[in-house]
Amino acid sequence: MNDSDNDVRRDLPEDCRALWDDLGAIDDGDASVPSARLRAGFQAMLAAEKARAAAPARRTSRAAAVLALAASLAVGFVAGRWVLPAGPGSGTDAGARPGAGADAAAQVEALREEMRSMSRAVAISLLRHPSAGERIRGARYSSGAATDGGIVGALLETVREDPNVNVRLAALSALGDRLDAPGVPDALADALAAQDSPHVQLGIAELLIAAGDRDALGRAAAAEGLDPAVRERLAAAAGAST
Amino acid sequence: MEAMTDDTRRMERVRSGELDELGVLFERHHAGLYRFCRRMTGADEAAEDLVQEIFLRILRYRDTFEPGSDFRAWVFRLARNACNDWFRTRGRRPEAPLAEEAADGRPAPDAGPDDALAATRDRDLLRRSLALLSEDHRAVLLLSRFECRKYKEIAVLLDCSVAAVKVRVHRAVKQLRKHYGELRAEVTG
Repeated sequence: MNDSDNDVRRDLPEDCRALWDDLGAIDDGDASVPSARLRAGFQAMLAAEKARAAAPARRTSRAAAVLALAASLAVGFVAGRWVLPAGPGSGTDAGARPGAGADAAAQVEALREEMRSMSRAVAISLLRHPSAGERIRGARYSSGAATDGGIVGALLETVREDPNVNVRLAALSALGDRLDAPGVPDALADALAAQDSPHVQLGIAELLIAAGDRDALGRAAAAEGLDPAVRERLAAAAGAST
Repeated sequence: MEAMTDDTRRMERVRSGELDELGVLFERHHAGLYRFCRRMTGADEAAEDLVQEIFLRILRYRDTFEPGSDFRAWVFRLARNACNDWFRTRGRRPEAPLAEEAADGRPAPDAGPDDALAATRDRDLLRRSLALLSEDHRAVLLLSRFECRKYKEIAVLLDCSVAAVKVRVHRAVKQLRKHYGELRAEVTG
């Protein structure tokens, strides 16, 4: 037991001190050490970030993002044309082969999926850009990206962590299309208390109302530091959804 | 205090692009962060994943680090957010109680089998009670009891006043006692 422990223990009510003492017996946290996997993972991540930082051409201007998409589209298109097996009368007649329509549809769908995936990578990259303007573009750009945990998580993190109000509002706008993704209403309700901007509070409130998640609405209405008008709106919505 | 100043200086260098400085901060802080995350989640592997995630967020948000600010408080905020996200995706509670075996929690050598059994049961109930606390209450207890941090230090980490820390510790202990009493009543009938 050290000085700080004594301080806390002394301040506790008499009937809680025995429990406080017992609590000390259940922890072996100081004896646990992380495995080598953690250091290896960190070093790999740092190396990847350094490589990314050292490649300014790849650093997320919108033009570069668009170019990357265009290049992907062109490569996919060319590959789609030339990788198709050559049948009788190949070339322009390829579309007439039995089953060629299904092949082409599959190619197009694969290409579409590739584009969504690339949009996702570009959007996440833009959301991490030092410039607030680029981060706003990232939030807007995310609308064309595949909805998965990565993009939703990046948008939620932006709402919660980004120091710029306009970026947070842009991320909220992008989340409006993804309210049915798992955990989004809960995460928005949790993010509400940390917001000092009434505009952002209102933006979150509007999304929560649109989502209609009663639990999330109730928790949000009880958050500390809310603008009175926002609290009133949330409370009314929570009451209406019961 | 000197270490904190040095941390801040190094983080400022990371912010300005000297990413290798993060390696020093990793060596200095990853074990402490791992212990905190392990205590919060009750799981070794999750704790490692979370520490990895915290350092990823340090890189991602390095531009938001305010020069001259307290590096530890900033990182602790990232750590708590990472833990909260983990709980959100995995459910509200740690997936397992804290450590199954407490090195210093064994019964006295002269204790009888019944005493030893009761002591083991009580420790288990206490771990389960701790797991039932909210993340905020669990965090403040981990910092004050297991990491033995002073009120003032916790206040910096939680970005609140010392008085608020005292209130949170009291509430957390009272909530813990309530859970513990209920679980004990279930077990002992």
